[in-house]
Amino acid sequence: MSEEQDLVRLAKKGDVGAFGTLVRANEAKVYNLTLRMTGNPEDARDLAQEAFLLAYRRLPAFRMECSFSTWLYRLTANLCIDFLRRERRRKSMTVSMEDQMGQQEEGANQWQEPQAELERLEMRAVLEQGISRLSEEHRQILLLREMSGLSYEEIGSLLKLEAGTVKSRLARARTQLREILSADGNFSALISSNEAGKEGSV
Amino acid sequence: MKDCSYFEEQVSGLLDGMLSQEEADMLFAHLAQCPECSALYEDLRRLSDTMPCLEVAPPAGFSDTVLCAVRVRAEKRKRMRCHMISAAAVLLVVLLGAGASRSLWFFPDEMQESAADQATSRQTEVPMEICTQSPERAPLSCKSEGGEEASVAEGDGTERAFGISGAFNGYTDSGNVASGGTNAPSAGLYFAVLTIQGKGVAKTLNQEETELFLQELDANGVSYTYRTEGTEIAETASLCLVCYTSESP
Repeated sequence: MSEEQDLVRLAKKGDVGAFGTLVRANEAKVYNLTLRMTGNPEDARDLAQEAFLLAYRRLPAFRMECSFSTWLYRLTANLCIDFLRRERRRKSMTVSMEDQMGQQEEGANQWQEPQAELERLEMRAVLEQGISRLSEEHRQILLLREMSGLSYEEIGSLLKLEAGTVKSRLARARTQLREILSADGNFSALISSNEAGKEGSV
Repeated sequence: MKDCSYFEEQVSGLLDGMLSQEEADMLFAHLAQCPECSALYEDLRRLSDTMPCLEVAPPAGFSDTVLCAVRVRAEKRKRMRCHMISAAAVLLVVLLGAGASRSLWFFPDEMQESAADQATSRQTEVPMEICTQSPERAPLSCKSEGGEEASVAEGDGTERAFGISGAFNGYTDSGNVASGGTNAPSAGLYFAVLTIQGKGVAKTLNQEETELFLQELDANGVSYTYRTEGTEIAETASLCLVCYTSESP
């Protein structure tokens, strides 16, 4: 039995400490999903918190048919989708660089190489800009897959789409992102800085 | 013969590990002879590799806040269970009493009302309390009436709080003053949170945030470090939590 399953069993019995370990193991993924889906750090924080609370409340009903993290991301994505539907938010999905820089300053110690970190931030900005220019349906599906690692089936049930549609929409989202980045002349820069970053980190 | 649009979709499917061996073989055979699709595959693969760079760290203290809220729920659940058991016990006593003598229908009205009051009063009774603590000290709590000074001098006497319906002020013996207010003006929970430290930082929290504080103190009696705008309040910070409760009008 996996460590995650052990923790889930304990948490189901009311062990808040075990649930805490699950929260810490998944907080980054959950927060990043809400952040990319809403494009707003405050909404993202609230939704991520709501997702964990909902998970805690529904834990007794969780039948462990999939991993806890998958279940949690699905639940988070659902909350985000509901939120976006409710709010009909159409503002820019780009998280401002100021916010990002602020967050980085807090955790500055984790980046020992300022140059590498700068490249990473630039790469992220380029990618974010590209993603923000995707249509909402393409952005949503790409994030669900890339940020949360949800399966086609899970994405399909969330977005009420056939598995075949999920597959074709995802492919379209990716090729569109490639086209956007290429048209801006950013694609090769993005790829080369990613490769350079990998080489530098070896 | 499949065309390139079919293989574009298959490239994406391959990246997601969604192709069967047969489909993957067919795709690779196509890529070997189609430079466009081959370039697409390379680009999408690299793009997918780049996606993790989007990850940012969650806000400082995020998991602490979540766990605080979780403890609130756990505590609420526990309390609810207690109340239900109390109510059930009262009801049982009433029913047993009724069964031992005569049917409930023959009880005088006042007796029935009294038994019902007893049961409901247990369910609705919510203590009015003020809790203060600092990380080094054991939590304190005491009852308070709205509008009167609520002293918590049982500790080391360095903190005091004034609980006033609608607003409050607090100070430490070292002279740092801060103030806050309540933001639930009509009924239900009246609350405010005051943080006191050298710089006199004060903030009134919203209902949800305050509930987290209250329950955290209530449930665990452990210190809770409040962070504001990414700045962790120093160890010397004290928290003063004022919680009023009242019945709905």
